[in-house]
Parts: sequence; C-alpha cells; structure tokens
Amino acid sequence: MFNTDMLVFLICPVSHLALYYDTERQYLISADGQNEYPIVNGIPVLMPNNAMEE
Amino acid sequence: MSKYENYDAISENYDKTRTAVGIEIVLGYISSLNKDREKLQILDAGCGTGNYALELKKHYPNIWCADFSMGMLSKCQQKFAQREQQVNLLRCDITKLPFRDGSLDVVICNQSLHHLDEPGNNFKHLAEFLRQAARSLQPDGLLLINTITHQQLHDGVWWGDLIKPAVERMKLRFTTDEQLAALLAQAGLTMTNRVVALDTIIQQHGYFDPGSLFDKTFRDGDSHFSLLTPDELAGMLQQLEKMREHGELEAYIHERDRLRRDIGQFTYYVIGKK
Repeated sequence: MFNTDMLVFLICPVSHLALYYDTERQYLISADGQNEYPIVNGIPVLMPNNAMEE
Repeated sequence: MSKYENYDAISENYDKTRTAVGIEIVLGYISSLNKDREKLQILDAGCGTGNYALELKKHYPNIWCADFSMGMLSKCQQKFAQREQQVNLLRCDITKLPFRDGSLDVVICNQSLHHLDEPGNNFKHLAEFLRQAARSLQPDGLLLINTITHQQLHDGVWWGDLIKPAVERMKLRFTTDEQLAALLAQAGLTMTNRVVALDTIIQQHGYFDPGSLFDKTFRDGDSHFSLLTPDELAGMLQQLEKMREHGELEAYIHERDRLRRDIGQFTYYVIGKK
C-alpha cells in the first residue's frame, strides 16, 4: 500500500533525518531510530507524537 | 489543525460546497515555470478532499497531498482510487513539512492558512509554514497561496453584513497584505503578484439561492458560520426569514452582490524565493 518512492523526498519532521520503512510494523522510522510514524491505510502520519491527538 | 472547525466531521459534506475555484490561475502559473512536467513535484498543503489535486493530476504526474485531517485525506484517497490514479498522501502538520530541502517545485495552499493560528499569536504558525515552504522549495520554486483579504471577508459574500460578528472574528485569523508581506520577507520569500478572479464564486451552486443559508450543510461549507454564537446564528436566520417573508431577500442579495463583483471572493498570492 505504501509507495516507497516517497522516501526519496521525505524526512522526519522532528529531526529532519531520512526515514526508513519498517514493512512488518508499517512504520516510518527516522534514521537515528528516535522517531516513529505509523502508516495508516497507506497514508504516513508524519506528526510528532505529542501532536497526534490534537 | 483548525481549532474552530472539525474537518474530520465535515469531510463527508465538504464537496457539496467546495470545488477547485481558481484552478486556472494555479495551472497558468505552474506552466509558466517552463519545467519538465514529468519531473515537477507539486504539494497541495492543506489539500482537504483533494479537489485541487485532482485537477492538477490531469496535467502533472507527481502530486503530493498533505492535510492534518485523516477524514479529509481518506476522502481524497477514495476520490483518487475511484479514478484509478496514484497520489502521494501524507497526514502532517504543514508548519512542520516533512520534505527534504529543495525537494519541491510548487507548493499550493488553498483557503487553509487561516486555520493555523488562533487570534493574538502574531501568526506564529503561518510564519513557520512559510519558512518550511521556503526550505522545501527549489530556488526557483513557486508558492501559491489562495486566501481572502479583509475586504473580501466582508464584501465578497452577500451575507457578509448579516454575520458581521463572525467576519470581525475571522479578520483576526487572516493577515492584511502588509502583514503577509512582512512574514514572507522573514521567511526569505517575496510576493511577485496578486491575482483576483472577479467572476469566480467559491460556493458555486446555491450562492444566489435565497434559501441557502437556512441549510446547515451549505453553512458548513463556509467556515465563517462556525464563528457565530448560537444566538447570533439564530438572529441572522430570523433576519433572513423576515426579509424572505417581506419579499425583500432577492433584492438584498442582488444589491450586496454588486460589491462582490468589484472585489472578488478570494486572492491568489504568487510567491517566489528571494
């Protein structure tokens, strides 16, 4: 569902580091492993954790 | 991240009152970049249900749609899927754009920026969005902002005078031209043009219908109404009903709409990097 071509353009909105795709868990994870972002129905939710429920 | 409208809830009815008004302006400016359209990366920041993105997709293959509301994004996803078209969807805060530096050619933002800031915070979030857009754009990139001037807020719709308290509250959420120019300068951006489509009506179907404001679905398509108190809304509807009973409503609409014809309903700001 997730289009991996998007990773060429995207970065972590917190650290501005590159993201890698955890296919098993359906998450995008920042290169330093500090920030994780779920992919929901194929849509990456690239929001800092504390902003998720705003 | 609107604090005064629940976009997840209204996403179902959103398309009944919204279309890609002014899309010809967007397409004109993108084509004037004279870049290979196969390579152009175009972001619709605050894409809603994707009305602009769907139009852009007819001409450009690489479209990105970003929104804070999952409800809006799901609707957008459905619309692209129905057309069997591919689009890159992102749920994000547009003041924290998750794009690499210089990765985008075009950023468009339609009728979204007034949702970023609460009144009184000096457009702090708008300033951040502009900085992020500047960072994400290529040196010759283009930012197109579709918004409403203070005069258009009041006189760009025939009912502006009837909902004056909401219009006054709304003005606190929209920059003046001077404020926007200052924020752009701080972000390393510069305004190259302002474009107003005088004959284009955001609400399209139903705008001239004297009964439209009695319909909640129609009112939900215009965020002004959510800034009225229940008493103010009831008072406005009573006033409308009285005019309707006296057979005066159509003449009122016609008279007020003369102002709209002079100033238009919305303004596109054409912006580049300094």
